[in-house]
Amino acid sequence: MSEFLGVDVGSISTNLALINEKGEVRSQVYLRTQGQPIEAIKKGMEEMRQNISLDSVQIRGVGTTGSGRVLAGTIVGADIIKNEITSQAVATLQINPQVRTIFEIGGQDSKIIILQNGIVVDFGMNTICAAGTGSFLDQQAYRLKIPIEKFGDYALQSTNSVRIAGRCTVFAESDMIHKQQLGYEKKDIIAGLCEALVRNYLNNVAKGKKICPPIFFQGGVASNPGIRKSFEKELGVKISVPEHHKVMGAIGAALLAKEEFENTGKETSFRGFNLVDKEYRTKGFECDGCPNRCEVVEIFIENELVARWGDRCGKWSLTYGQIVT
Amino acid sequence: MKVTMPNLGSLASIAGKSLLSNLGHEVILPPPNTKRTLDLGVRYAPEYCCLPLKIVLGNFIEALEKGADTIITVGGWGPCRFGYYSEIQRMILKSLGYKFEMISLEVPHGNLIRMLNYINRLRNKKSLPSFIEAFKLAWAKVVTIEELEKEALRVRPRENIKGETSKILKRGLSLIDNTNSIEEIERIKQKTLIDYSKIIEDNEDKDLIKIKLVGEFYVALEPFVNHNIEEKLGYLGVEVERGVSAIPWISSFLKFFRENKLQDIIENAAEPYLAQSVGGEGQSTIGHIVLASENGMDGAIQVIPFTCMPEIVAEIISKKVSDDLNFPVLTLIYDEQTGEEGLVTRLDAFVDLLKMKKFERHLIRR
Repeated sequence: MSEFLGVDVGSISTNLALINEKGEVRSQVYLRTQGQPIEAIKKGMEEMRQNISLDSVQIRGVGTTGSGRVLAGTIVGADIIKNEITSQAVATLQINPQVRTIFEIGGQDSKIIILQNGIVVDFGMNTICAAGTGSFLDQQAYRLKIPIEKFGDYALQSTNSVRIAGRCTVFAESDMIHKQQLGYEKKDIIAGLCEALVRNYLNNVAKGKKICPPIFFQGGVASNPGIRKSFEKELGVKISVPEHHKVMGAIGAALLAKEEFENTGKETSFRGFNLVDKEYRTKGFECDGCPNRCEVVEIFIENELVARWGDRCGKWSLTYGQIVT
Repeated sequence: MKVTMPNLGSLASIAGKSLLSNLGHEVILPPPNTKRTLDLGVRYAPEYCCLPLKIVLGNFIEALEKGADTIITVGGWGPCRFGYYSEIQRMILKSLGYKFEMISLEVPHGNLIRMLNYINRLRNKKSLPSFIEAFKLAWAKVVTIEELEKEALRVRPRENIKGETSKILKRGLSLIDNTNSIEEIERIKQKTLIDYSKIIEDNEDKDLIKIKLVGEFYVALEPFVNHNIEEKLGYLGVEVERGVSAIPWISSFLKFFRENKLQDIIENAAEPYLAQSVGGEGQSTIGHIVLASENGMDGAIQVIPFTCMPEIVAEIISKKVSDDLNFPVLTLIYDEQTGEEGLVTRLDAFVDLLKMKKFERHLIRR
């Protein structure tokens, strides 16, 4: 069998997905990046290796995406490195070719993707603040001493949500504290927070975009049924949350690697699952060539330099692509 | 007089320097824009001002540190804050204790005498013919720099070895910087164009995505500020066309003296959506987007400094234009952030979008 691997390294989570020739998901891994992308990738690869039986798997292509896609691509040896908008769109189209709108809310950023006839025609990303993202909920869950996984269930119990200012996390927090002090119930405050996030998302990220069904909601925050309910309440239409909503980016990257393989037939540059046994190191230095003082990062595998970046002028840059080809 | 002026791409450092040094002034250019320039500007400028004011203020501080005693800059008029910038910068620098004089060239709006007085100072007792000579030479440099830079935008996405275009351009610009003859400039231009053509063999007619770059003048033209957007797009396989460039901008200053046909065409194109000036380049931004769509380009990117009023007006209107004409427009807002990941993701996704639209390539084959 031929398989394709997708790796999505985001700020909060690192996800891997393995798909077969038909594009079906064979295995997936979801874990927290915790500010250490290299460790997260290795851990993810290790988990993936345990999930599957290596003898029956033949990796033909690897794609990476997410804000850490270049680093991930260097480490695993990617055949294609793609932005997360395209990757998310590809994965969703695979499920429903008619999809018109994708809401993707992750840990640190949120996006909206508008499609028409299977083509991305517009997209938006949060530009100004974190109020429409998962980390906003994370923070408030921490304040309320409720695990983030339970957040949605609390919200669903509420029949009378409390209005909370959602424009800015700072406003939201002080508004929430005031309402707590007035004695409102936790579940009603949580439902109010979900509505605040949705309001902020629609007014900020989705501002000026035509939202047409079918609508898909994915990313880590889609696990929260409270948010989904708030979206449905606000928009008055049904929202679909796909089964693998947490790893859609990784699935998309794998699908793109598959397409790349089918179009070119090129042999994969994948370094193999035993890369988890190798030693990866990053080293940095500050270039003193000019007052920019760029922090240049070097990536080593077993003491061999495989990539270098971070300089503005290109004096040091040695990208993965340059070394491979 | 040890004169200095703000950095603006290659224009100030080459053409501006040429004009002033041929008028017998000692020219002390600010060092190229770096994080230090940004830090100085951010530290001393009012927080809510836009990035151009901050960077230029940083330029002035760094030039004064190097010993400049006269600052030459441009002012303006109209609803954009830019008109007040030179005055604000002068006051900030004075309050920091620098000793200098500031000459702000602006469209004479009732005060022709002051303008003539400034020009006379710059003329530096040179005879009129040699003043005109210096001016002609500098203008030839402006025109050639723009031409070579614009051609680089066409060549870069077609180059056979990555990075060659930028190398050839850099070499050409440095030769232009070092010459004082108009004939020589022409020779350098021809040589550079031939060098360009050598590195795109077999790719000349490649059908590429074409993007119009529009928006605020300074952000569009200063690579440090816009994170080298033209080069990044080139490497993504995109041919960029500048909607903002120095020649029309300089001539629009001279609109006072003579009519400016190009500007009229742009304003006419904008008219159904924005029939009057909103300051800065706001109206032109809309006009350029309409024209780019009419000329069969694939999309437009609007670059804005954070808090820029004219461009915010244009941004909102551009959504309607984009809808009506089925013409994708991406707006990028720049402030002092130096991380590039978000910018690269947006550019990459936008280019994917345009490619899918142009080549009718569905992401998934069915």
